[in-house]
Amino acid sequence: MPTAAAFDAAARSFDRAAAELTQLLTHTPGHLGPDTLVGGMLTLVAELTVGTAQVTASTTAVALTRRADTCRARADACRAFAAELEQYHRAVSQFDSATRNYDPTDPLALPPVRPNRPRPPANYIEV
Amino acid sequence: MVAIDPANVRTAAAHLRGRAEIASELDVDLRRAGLLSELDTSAMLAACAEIDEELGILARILVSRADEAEGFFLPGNNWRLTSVLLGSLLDDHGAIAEMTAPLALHTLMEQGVPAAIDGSNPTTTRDPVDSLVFTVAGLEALAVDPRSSPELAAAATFLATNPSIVEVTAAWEGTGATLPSHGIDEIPLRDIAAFLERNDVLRSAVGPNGIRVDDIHAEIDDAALVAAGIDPDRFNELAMPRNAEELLIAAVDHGTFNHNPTVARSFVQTLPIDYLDGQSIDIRQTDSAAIERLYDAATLDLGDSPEDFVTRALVVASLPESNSGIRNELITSNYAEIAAWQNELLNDSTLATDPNYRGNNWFHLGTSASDSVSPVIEGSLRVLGDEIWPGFGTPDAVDQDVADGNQAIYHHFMTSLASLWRTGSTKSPRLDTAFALLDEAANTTDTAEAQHLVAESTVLFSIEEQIVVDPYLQLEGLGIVDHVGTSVLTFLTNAGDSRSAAEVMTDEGELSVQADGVDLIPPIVIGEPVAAPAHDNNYLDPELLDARLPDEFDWSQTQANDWTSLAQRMPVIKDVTILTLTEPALPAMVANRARGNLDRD
Repeated sequence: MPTAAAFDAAARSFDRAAAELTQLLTHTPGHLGPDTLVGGMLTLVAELTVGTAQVTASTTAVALTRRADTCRARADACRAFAAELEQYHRAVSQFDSATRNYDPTDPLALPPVRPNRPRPPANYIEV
Repeated sequence: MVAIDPANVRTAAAHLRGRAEIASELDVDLRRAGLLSELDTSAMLAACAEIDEELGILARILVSRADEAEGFFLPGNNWRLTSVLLGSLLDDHGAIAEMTAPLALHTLMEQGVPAAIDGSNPTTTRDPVDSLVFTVAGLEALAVDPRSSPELAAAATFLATNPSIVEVTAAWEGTGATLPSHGIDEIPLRDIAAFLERNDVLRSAVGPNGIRVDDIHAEIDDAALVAAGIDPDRFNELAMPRNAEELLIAAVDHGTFNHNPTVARSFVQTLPIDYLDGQSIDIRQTDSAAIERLYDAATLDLGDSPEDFVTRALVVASLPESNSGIRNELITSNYAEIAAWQNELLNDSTLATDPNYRGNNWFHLGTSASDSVSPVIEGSLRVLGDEIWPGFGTPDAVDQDVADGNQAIYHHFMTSLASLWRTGSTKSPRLDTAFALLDEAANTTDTAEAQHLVAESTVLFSIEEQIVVDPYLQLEGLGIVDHVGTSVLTFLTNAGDSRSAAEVMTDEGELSVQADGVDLIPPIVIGEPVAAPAHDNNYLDPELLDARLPDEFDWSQTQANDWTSLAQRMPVIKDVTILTLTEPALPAMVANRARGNLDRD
């Protein structure tokens, strides 16, 4: 399962790719202006191809940004779960210590209660 | 049509390849991010691959088309020219668009233009640049094919009617390249490209920022060419003429501005007019067919509305003339149209033989007068032939002067008419009055008063005409003056039949006008005082009419001892004008000259 670090790295990659795609064809129409190509089927083909590529790049960039957002959310969830787990381990240590010191003959002593292991909030959580 | 700049297209293709590469390189990042996050990135990978592929294909297509366009490039050529031609043939002709360019070119070579347009039967491996030729029949088909671009149609029209295209071939030879061999009535693509290039240079040279026409015979210097954006070396390589008159004639001959009616009209307006500019294009240097093509191009989009008639009339007013009298024919027919239009307003269906007829109008006279000078312009009537009247100037100079005078009157009247139509005033008080009198005559119920109003109006038109034409009557001596004067005197008697002015002039320098062997007016000896016949429109009161006319001439005069004198000439002109008012043959003659009935062949 991916770790928070893996999700963070993936988010950075997705962001970088989204930025690349957003900028990919910004200057392309300028290269196909009237000094280059005027009229005819060829101009239509060029405009259609570049226009389609611009739409594809734009929608893909949006999708990649969403992927990056997902990765960051999952990295946060991983880190939150790791914190819960660390707290659990500390509780377990306290429980073990209390168990060792527990005297069952002491009518006033209460038996220690074992802490519950936290459950991962999602199946992608890896610590 | 498509136009390609190969260099810029290659730059664009390199840019597209770079973009495709970036999209491709995203593949590595996206796969790694997918592995790290275990998120599905297949759609994004597919999108990047699609962008990579599409941009890559487009880049390859562009490079391919740049190669093709360069295959048609001439040294120093403006990139739009041949690529426009190429694009016209390859890109906009339906099935052709589905073919690769080389395939289409091969089709052109093997099957000629029609098959190429149909996109059928592509074979051969010969070099298209060197071996592609058009037959004259193919060019004629291309010229009228609605799928042809206007520029290509104009080029094809010229080339089809000038299959030897001597000057085009000369232009190509100027490049130092080897001409491809071709057969009779076959025109190589190279020549068409050279024609188009020459046209492009002509457009620059005679365009708004090009040569000045202050002196159309002055040689154009390199600075003027550079100012017009023309490389002087290339100008010389193309063997372009070095003075404005020859450049303008070349532009007319080449149909340089014929591809668009608005452009053609703008070009026509730039042509020099003797009446305005003091110089005109030599009628011996022009080509009737080329002038007619220019006229057709400049009036192609005009209909029958009054505004369109005015626009058409102004085109005619600025056209060059040829020594076949093409402009004179158009002027005559336009006069005839106006005459018929005004006649309808004045007389409806009343005939000139009817006592209630209100009179012919000046444009009847204009039609006849313009028609009477056509044999002089055409050269079939040598007014100053050396054997008969030596010393009066060269016949060619007379032809030019008469053509210029014919244009001057027409130009003045048509610009006045245009001004009246558009602003309500002719800008000439005399013509304003003349038109107002016609309007008054058309609207009054008093027939006798209407007849006097028409007579008064027509004399005012005649005064204006004589003032405009006066400088031309001063040219070339008494011979031409006599001719013009006597032509005016004779028009009324020969208007109704086929006799020309030539037939009524004797070889003794004496003019007589006869019908059935009887003199209609006293014989006139050239160079002698000319007397007008007393008018016989007895429905007019001479005293009343004279009282209405401007007090600037001695209307009691009946003879002109000096035709170059407006003061002496005008009373005679007045009498002749009055005589024409009820000439019954005039309306029929004018109707035969009306546009549409004019035989321009």
